[in-house]
Amino acid sequence: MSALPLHHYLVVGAVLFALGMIGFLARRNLIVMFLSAEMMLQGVALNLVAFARYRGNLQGQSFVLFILTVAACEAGIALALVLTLYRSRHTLDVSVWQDLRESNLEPTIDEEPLPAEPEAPPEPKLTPAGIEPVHREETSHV
Amino acid sequence: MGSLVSILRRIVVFLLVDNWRITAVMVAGAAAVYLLLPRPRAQKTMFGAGLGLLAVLLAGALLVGTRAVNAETFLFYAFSATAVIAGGLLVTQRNPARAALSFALVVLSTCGLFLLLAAPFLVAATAIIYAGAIVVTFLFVLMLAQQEGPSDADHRSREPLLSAIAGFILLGVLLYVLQANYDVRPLEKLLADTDSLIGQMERTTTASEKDHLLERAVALAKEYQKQAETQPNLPASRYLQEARGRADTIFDIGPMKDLLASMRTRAQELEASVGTMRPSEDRMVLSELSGPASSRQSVELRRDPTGRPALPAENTAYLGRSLFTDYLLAVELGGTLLLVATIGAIAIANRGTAASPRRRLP
Repeated sequence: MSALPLHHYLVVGAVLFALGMIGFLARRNLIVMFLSAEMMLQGVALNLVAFARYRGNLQGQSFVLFILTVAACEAGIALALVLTLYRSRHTLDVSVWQDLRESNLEPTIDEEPLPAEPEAPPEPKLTPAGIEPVHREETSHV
Repeated sequence: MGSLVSILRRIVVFLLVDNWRITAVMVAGAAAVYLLLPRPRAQKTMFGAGLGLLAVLLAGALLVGTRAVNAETFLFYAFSATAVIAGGLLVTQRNPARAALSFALVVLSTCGLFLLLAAPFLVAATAIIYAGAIVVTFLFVLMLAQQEGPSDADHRSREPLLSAIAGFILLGVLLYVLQANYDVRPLEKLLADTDSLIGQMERTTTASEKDHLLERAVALAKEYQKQAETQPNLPASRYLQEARGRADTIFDIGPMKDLLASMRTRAQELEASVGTMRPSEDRMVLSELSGPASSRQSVELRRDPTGRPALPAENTAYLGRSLFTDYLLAVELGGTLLLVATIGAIAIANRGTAASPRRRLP
């Protein structure tokens, strides 16, 4: 009977970290960017807990508690900032803030048009109230 | 010019021959994420999803060994597959509310992995703080900032190709380092070879066979010395280095068999401490309040029947002891940080309304 070796958990942590990094680099929605950063923190926390388990002491678990504290603070402040940013430009897109870039960089301009909004299905029409609907004549007489 | 070609050849051999499994994970994963990241054009979603599943399976194949399937391994693979797939969905999902929900799924499956790692208090704390508080706040802000129809924020990506490549190069390097440090397969093969050689020594009688077996024993001793060089600080390694010298001076089957047997037990010690960080020789005395101090050698740890170091069953009590002795200052600082962050968040979020012109009363 043998237990799982340590590096299994480290691989999962590494995958979560790399996926979070891709999300942070590629996505343009402020909130999805923050979610990706939180996922990177999850990968690190998994590593710490795994090391604690395979060393037999609780220091890694204590570290993860501090990560949780800092993540909660970070989420609170980040959401307050996102709200402020949203109020001034009315969009969650980070690219509207690209005028903060360095002076020697070219701006990125989106060339492809966005897909057209799918057409909403037509709303059902009701007979206006107060008018008697047209009846067909009854065909059977009993 | 010739050196450039030889360097390129070495790189190609390194990527495609020696480490082709890691390269396959990197290529499939990067292609899948690139295809799935949102963009205005029509996407090949099915193709990307298929490639993504292939990458997850390849990464799983990196880990699967000949180990028997028990409840722990099954749960490990289930939770980690859920975590990785939900993580991929979080990155590639267009709808941010669904992304927040897949983040909750990532958190819950990491909680499952924490449970497998004997950390029940952290499971509760993570589920409450992350999946409870943080995800709900994110959803709340999303509802406040609700947008209709396709938007720049959700339907475009910044440099999807470059970021997918960057992320998966990082992953490949991490996987390679883990494989280089934690791979025990050569050592296990060596142990099996030793077993078979000892068995043959017990059966053999003729003189010609004896010479042949002694030669093989010396070759094994050389291999053991090579393995010992990877972890030079351990007592077991020092023993194995010495034993290599002794093997040259033994010309009889009996003593050689004893030497091989003792080398085998020492090599098992070596295997148990693969990948652990070893403390330096001048041992610093550290506190034992959070479990065995990190200055202890890994052979000194008390182990459970599965071979892993034992952890106390009363997780919460011992975690509390660790927090309020070793990490007391950090706990106080964490509390202060939370207070400051609360005040800061209120101040920042209120500024928008305070600055807007006030309506005058008539």
